[in-house]
Amino acid sequence: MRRSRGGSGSPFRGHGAPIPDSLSLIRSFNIETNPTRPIRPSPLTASTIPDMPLDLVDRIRSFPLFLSAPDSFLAAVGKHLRPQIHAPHDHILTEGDDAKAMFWLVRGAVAVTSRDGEATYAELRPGAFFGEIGILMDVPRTATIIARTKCLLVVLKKEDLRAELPNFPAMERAIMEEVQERLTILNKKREESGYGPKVVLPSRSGKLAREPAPGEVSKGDTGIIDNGVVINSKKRKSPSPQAIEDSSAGSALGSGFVNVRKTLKDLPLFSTLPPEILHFLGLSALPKTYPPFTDIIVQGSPGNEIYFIVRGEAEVIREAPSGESQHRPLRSSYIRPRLKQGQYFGEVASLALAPQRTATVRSITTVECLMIGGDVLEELWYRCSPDIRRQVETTAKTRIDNTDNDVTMSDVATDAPSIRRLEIKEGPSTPHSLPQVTFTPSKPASPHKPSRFEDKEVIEPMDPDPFLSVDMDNMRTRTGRRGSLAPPVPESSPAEANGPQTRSRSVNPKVAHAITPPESNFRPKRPKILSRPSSQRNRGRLPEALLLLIFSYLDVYQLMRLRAVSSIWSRILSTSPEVCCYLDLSIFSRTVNNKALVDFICPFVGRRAHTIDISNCFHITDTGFNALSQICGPTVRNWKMKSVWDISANAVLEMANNSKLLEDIDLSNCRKVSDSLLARIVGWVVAEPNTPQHLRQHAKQQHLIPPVGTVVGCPKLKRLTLSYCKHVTDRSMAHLAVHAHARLESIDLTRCTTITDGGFQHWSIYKFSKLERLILADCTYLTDNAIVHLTNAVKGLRELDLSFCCALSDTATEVISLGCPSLRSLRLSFCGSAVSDSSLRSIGLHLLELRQLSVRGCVRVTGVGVEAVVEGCRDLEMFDVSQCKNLQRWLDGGGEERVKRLYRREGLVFETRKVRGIR
Amino acid sequence: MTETTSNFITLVSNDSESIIVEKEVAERSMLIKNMMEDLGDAVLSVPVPIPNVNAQVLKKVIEWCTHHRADPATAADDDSDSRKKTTDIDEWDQKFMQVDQEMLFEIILASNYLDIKPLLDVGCKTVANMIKGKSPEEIRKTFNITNDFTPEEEEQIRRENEWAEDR
Repeated sequence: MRRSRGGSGSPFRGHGAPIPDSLSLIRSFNIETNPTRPIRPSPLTASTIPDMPLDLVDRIRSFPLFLSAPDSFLAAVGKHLRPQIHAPHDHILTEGDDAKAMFWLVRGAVAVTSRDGEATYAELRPGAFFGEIGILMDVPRTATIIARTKCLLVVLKKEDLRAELPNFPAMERAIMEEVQERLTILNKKREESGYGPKVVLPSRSGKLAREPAPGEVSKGDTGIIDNGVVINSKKRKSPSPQAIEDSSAGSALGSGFVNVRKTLKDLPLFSTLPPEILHFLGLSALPKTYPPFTDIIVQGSPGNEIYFIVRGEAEVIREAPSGESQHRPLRSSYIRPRLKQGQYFGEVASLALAPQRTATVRSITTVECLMIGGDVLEELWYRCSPDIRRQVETTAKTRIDNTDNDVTMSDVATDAPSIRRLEIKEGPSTPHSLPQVTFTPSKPASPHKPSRFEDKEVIEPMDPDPFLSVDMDNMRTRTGRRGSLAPPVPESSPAEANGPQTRSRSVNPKVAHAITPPESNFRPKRPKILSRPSSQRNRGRLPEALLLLIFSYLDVYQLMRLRAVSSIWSRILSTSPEVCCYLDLSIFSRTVNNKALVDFICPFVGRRAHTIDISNCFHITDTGFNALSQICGPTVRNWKMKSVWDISANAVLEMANNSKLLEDIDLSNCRKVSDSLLARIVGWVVAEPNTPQHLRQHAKQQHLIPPVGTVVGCPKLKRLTLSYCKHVTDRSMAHLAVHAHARLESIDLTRCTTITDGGFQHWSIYKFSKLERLILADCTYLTDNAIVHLTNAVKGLRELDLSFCCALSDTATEVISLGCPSLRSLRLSFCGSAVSDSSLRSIGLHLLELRQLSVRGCVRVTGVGVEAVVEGCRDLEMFDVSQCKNLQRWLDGGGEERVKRLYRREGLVFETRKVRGIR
Repeated sequence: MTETTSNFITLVSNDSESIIVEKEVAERSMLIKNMMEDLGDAVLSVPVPIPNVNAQVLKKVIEWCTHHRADPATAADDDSDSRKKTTDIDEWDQKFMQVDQEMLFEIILASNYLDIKPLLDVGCKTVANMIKGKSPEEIRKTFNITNDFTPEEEEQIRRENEWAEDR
């Protein structure tokens, strides 16, 4: 408390109102409304409380448990907060370690990864917190956190929190209840999934009970953390898209279950309930998870539970009273009401308004529900105000009254973002647009409940990150104000060497240049071939031109070997520029090594290769790679180095510098590829020197800023393959947008799971006029917003692969249909929630150029949609409908032949059955 | 000139044998095609001498052209060095190329002279495949080349290739 008086002379006193308690300064000072607020406040803006920066208070409050904490508690906790700085690639937490503290991320970015660091579950931005599970529940760390950039964290140690808690009994109780609720859910989860020991409930005494078998804990805990999401992701080896939303929802490892209370409170119906009833509900609610396209409740079955959707989407299917046919007539089956997060169902039967379930509810995506049983409900009605029951009953009655048409829930249906409504948002989309129409609380929300706006502000401060490399930072600014800033200085300028990120730089130009030896060093061990008069006889039977043609079909080993035939052959093989244009070493991936490259292959090939393929050559390290890039690089146009993951970023950068003609690069599965490396490969042109201040300073210090027009990187690069490059983030997407939008023709981002909607947002203001091929398979985090941005940027797309982009909805498909009319190949395999009969219809209406379409494994596809596509897409050649389990009936009924005959599509091939090859 | 005659052209080999082929078949040769375009239908009425090719080889080449008469025109060789060249040969061509080495080289030379790119490619691929399995000495024999290397020089080249040899 004493500390807080430090700012008695603070200008903020000037607000007029008397400030009763110095602590309320924290509250009364609203960063948003302060007119003197700097445009870009320092992260540690001096505040009236020493050691307690202003936005830190906001950040601490973003931790759900502290939302309602008194200011005095925050101040007490604040005393213990300590800043901590991490360099890039630091392991901040390691899965399995003892938990000693929790962290708030102030600056920089961190990644939540698996223990080995290979699988990234989520990237956290400033404002996120993590490590809270460990200190609240006294379990070992449940995930590994790695610093992506240099980051600034504030740390709250477990013992400090423990020491403060006794002074705040209310908070202590709240935390204990929270822990209790979480453990209950965890245990129920475990019972449901049938593994894991029961976790001992902590006693009220304040000492948290410790889980006896630590080995099990981390596993079970993952279950709570992501509650099914991660379990799911383990199968698919990539996190479910929801995990990203979670990070924006505030919790690091997060899901709604990180805070059961908050989850319940977020349900509009319960927002007004007093804490003790919420606690009661929290303890009795049963978490349930349903895979996509599963019936949660079935029409006509008995049951009295109410389900609250915590995550995911479900659709309501109400069969005609006759109940004869499963499949409803065409039109009506298109519009089914959808239920989303925050909505509930099952109340009709539960309130005994109907003898049995009146509709079937089926999951569209993975749906997580809290199920509240009939007996619990009885008790709830008994305990709480009759208002709640009345609300539920009203909804129930409206739903019953409208059994015949589904209009009741049209409010729900329209809530799915229409194309027009998908406006460009800053940052990842957050599920704030909860459909509340049905449940608008009769009372205003209780005062201590934060408004959604605040909620968001606290959680996602959109501040720029000073630890990004200068050029990145610059580039980011540029995306907003096009051309108003100078582009980043090129690699050759050591300007950034002084930047804050020096240590992190994966690319160090100085080192790179240091290892460039004079080229002559590399032509040493050529066998001395005496110049002899070439006899016509020795030329052989074919003229040289034909020999060259024959040589063009031989690999480099054969070519080198053939030198032994005669001196004429040797001369042709060693000097003709038409030999060895395609240097494919991937076929020798097991034998080719540095020595072979440096001593023999590179001197032989020289500057003749147009394509170099060293894919999978795992023996090659920087030594061989550098020789290759220096000797052969200048003429190379296509460079393929898939899975050559020992090559350092420096070496790749050097290669890019050598190969100015590069048009096509394949860096698949190269672990060292980072944003800054990629930016330097793709390059940029140095523009007007209206340099921002910080750059100019650098320039003075470094006495070197490249002249305007200097080209950095590979200016001709137009085809990029980056599959499995998990360290490529939205920053790279921004760079591509700013500097390469006019030349890129093909981009493969298969499984670049770190790229989010934000990356495509950078794209949306540029025209990628030449981009024809885009592979986004397995980019599981992308949502409809990404697709909207994408269609804004890329109109001429010919080939698009969105397989396994499970977070897309029907809207995405419709947006694509409207936005990319020249598509010839579209892959939507296993995009269950993006492909339905209605979205297929939009494909059939708009994608008239389509040759290939895959909707493999999309469970909602039926004959209606397939026929719509065949009817519309006249040029369709291949239609993959395999593993569409709800199409089986149509296929069995001969639909395939019938539709081909009906629309005269003799050339159309249906893929219907395939061995389950993929996953 | 009637339609029927305009569909055939007479080729004369260097050993003075006349071979009558359909115009469409003969047009697989860019040399003949260009000539016909330059000279018009007049060329159809007179025998066309093919000075560099004997009758046996010419017949063989015509056999290939007849089988491949309906092939789509090869796309302009755009940026051919960016594509990987495969030595796969389709089945019919493989059988077609099962001839003695003398004939193989003759076919390659003839297709080069007549400018029949696809046939030339097939021929070169066949030779490339043949080379792969042969020692330098065997290759010299095949191509009628004498060895002008010293044993040391040969050994030096052999050592440079050791890196790939244990695969």
